[in-house]
Amino acid sequence: MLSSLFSPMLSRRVLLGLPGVDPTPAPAASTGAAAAPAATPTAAPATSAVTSPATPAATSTPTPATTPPATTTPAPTPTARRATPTPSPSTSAHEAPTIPTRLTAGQVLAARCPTAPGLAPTTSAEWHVARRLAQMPNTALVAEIKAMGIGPWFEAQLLPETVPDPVWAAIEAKSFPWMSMTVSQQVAATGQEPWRCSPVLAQMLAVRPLYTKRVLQESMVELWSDQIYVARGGDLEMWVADFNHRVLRKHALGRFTDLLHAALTNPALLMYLNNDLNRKSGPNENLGRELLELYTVGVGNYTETDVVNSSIILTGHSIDWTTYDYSNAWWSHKTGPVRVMEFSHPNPPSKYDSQTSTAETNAALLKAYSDYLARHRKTAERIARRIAVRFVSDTPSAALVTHLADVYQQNDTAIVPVLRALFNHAEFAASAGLKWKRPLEHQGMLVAATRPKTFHPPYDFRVNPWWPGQLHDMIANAGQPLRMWPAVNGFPDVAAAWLSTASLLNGLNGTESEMEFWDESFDKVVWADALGVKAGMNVWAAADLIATTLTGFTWPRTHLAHIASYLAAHGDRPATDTDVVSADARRWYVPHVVRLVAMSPYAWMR
Amino acid sequence: MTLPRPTLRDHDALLHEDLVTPMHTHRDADSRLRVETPDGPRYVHAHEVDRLVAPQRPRTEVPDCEHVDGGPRRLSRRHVIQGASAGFGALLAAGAQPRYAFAAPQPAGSPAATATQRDLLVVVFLRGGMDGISAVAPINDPAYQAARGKTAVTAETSIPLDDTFALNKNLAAFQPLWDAKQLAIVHGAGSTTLKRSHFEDMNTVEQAAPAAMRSGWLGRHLQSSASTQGTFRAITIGNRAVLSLSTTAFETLATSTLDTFKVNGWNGDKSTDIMVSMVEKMFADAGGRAAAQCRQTMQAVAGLADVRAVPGDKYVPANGAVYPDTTFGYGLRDVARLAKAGKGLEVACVDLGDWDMHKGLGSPAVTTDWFSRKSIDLSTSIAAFAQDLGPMWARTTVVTMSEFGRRVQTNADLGVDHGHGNVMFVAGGGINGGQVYGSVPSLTPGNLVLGDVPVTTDYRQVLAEILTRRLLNADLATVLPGFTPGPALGIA
Repeated sequence: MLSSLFSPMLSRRVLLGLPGVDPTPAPAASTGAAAAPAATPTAAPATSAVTSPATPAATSTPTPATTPPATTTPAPTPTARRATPTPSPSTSAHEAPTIPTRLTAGQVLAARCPTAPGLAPTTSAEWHVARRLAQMPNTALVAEIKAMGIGPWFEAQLLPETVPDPVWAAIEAKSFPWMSMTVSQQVAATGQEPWRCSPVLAQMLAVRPLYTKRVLQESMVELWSDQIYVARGGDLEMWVADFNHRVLRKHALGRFTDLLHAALTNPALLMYLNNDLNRKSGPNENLGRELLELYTVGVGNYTETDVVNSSIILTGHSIDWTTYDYSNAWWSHKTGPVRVMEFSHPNPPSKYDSQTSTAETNAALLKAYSDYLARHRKTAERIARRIAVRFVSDTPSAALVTHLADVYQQNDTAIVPVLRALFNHAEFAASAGLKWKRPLEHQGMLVAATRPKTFHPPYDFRVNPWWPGQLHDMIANAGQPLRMWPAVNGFPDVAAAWLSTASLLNGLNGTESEMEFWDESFDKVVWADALGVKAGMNVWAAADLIATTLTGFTWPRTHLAHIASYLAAHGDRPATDTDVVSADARRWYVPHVVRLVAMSPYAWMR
Repeated sequence: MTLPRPTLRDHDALLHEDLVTPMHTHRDADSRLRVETPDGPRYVHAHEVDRLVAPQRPRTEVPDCEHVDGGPRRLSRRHVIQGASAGFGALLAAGAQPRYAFAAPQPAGSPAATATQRDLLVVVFLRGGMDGISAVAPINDPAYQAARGKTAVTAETSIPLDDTFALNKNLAAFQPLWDAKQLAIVHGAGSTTLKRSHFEDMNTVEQAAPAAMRSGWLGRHLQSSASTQGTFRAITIGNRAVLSLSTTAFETLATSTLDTFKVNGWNGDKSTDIMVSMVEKMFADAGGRAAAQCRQTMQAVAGLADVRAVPGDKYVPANGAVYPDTTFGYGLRDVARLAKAGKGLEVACVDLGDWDMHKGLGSPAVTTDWFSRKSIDLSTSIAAFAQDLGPMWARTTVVTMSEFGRRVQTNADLGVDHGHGNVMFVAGGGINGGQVYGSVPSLTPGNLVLGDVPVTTDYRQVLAEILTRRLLNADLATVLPGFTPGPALGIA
């Protein structure tokens, strides 16, 4: 054991001693050509039409919207799905296909939540879409969806580069310039302390959803970060921002084959699961196992022998400490025939040196293996399930998962067709409120409700990057320290995992911070102004306005009564039909009521 | 753009753990290494060190890097108020966060061991890697004195324990427990697998299981020792359960201090009560898991209301006990408050951090030096805890753990780098104390493993004896999978 402790040093010594080797020929080429055809506008309608059996007339002609009366539409039914929103002028720039979403403009949906089965609020189709696809939705986003139409807005989100995002771009340029740098650029920018990027990443992940217009891309970054999880603690602090940028964000709406290969050739993952120690002289199985168990096919589909072979395939993929990038360390690749499930490869040695691979065969084997796993049916089902669990419910139907997995495979692992199929599925339309928010979504709610436009953190990141900020603290206290889940399997995404005393109590307490504007990064607002509550307004109308503006749900009168009572009489007596919001109540009680709404179970429904 | 690459001479050595596993993973931002180069000193991160090292195994007696504490860091008020510790880093940062686990009351007539028959176990994790041979020193070993020089514990700065070992006099508060045979010491203890990374080795010893398992040994103990679940089976203080306590079977609750375990609001204003009552009503109407969780949370909050009613700073310890004015002292004080309140407290975890003494270990003769300060905090807190508990001490066990010990040879900054074998303190009314268990050879270079105290006793042996004898849990296969206990040391 002790001798093995020294092998990494020897490896790096070898690495350092071979200055003439081009470290990254093959992977660089493959990741460089990563643009996913399915993400382009021209390819999208064709693949959608072919692979969406649930929507046979997927490329229907745009028709004038026949909006049903907003207040009477019941929960969506199969017959209510065909109304097509009118394309707005802003979508014509990239000629997004108009897709037949099952949701119609202004449609009222009945929301229900298995975690809180006694609640039966209603919501609008736009709010449902916003709560599902965005991490921190607010009325501004809902208005944007209304203006564009649900379908065109969704199509635009699938092409995030076409969505103007000036507010976030300015904030990123000012406060987060490190986050899109390579590690070697970070080394220079941080005064040779690239690990400073780690808390800055956490802060960015906490606040970016408040400002960005590319909300679906951000949601997908979060989704992939849990699928291929790299913690930002410990040894990883200098690598995680690069992983976030060059792997998760770059491929968020691309192909899983590209995402997986990019992850396997990124120093963060290689360091996280010790693949820098995985050499022909002594394989380390950490990455080889998790690649099968967590990232692709899942447990139960491979043998221990497969794990050994998986690890052998991954030998010789390491880190170049000169460039701080991936290294194709072919000289430490273990050769000889390998077999993992149905994948087999002769994995031959170089014809010049029977002891080593070549850079080309090393890279080709990794790519072939990575693609095999990404395209595997079991992988398709796991990716499909993760997407369905994120955007539909904790218990998506087998039919939905099968359908999404089919689409995934028919489109060679492209994610956009999968999302489109999901969005068009009846289960999505019928899923309002089914999800229970994670702390990021819940704690971000009140800040989002202020519609923040500026970001002015109390510390300059160049001077003091160490604190990820008050909002992040509140998210962390409630159990979701961003990219700090202690195990390798990423944060869970089902309600059961987030129902705990610590999470609930800290979630309730976090709302105090957000209501009181303890986070100096955001502008304070007068809550009554932000919500449009005026003195003299009927308390029931004010209660409805506040509840709906903050949560997007229309509450039943039994629960509006709490808010109305507080506004009318500080909760001392029930509100009457004629009570109005006094000037004092507007000033003193409205903020309290904001917190009350944020502490209610409606605030957790998604 | 890349770093300029200074040329290092042969044997321009760094410390061997830096070659093996980058160190200082507890708070990288605060920890830098100074590397002497022909161009002058440079401060680099441990990861960069890997790239800079000379390709020889370094001689540990020529250390040339130092640990620089206190990188630029400011805390805002909001940051340090309750529970606002920064996520996972809090586990690794200096300081103490008590974590508690409650067991459900056993049903009447339950034949199995009950919570009241089992000891209360308090696990004190000394995060950062305590220097065992400064705590319990082989003062008569010339190799020890030579290696430690000015920082060595001597006859003048120690209390003799047996022919070989003496207790650092800054741990003198332990002496009454030792004399009463309620304090056992295990030397040369540790984990047989070691990477010398704080992060990874803490995980290893807290899981106490093969890496594939994702639960901690205390979680598995609680799970396997009682079949019932109460209002709250386990509670963890801190924003997340310490890994030892983690299990998928039930919840471990977390809060930073006992006094802040409540819904925050405006003090002395009924607004908070009104709002909480409204929230409770809405959650009750919500039904399902949401209602159950809210009820459970509010019951937990209410269940500790009597304990919170006398806040920590108003609490009067029994028997004249005086807790030191430290976070760790307050943590143990909170444990005592809970234990006395009869809430069924079975396991509590309290951290005492800041043992990562790469620089300026200090002299045992100076009570304000680094190791001395931490030792006084450790020993006076535990002594006060034992005194405060009074009769309950008879059914209480306290065990200290750390992720690794320190190197035998001091470095150029009179600090000690990451090592291996270490000391565990085991105190309690039912402990066979007054004895140093385990063995440590003379610390001559030939007896050391990579310059470290060898591990001669698996730390799980100590835990196994506590589990079976004091916690009445014989299911070691579940709690410590993959470990076969050796002959009993006889600690408990």
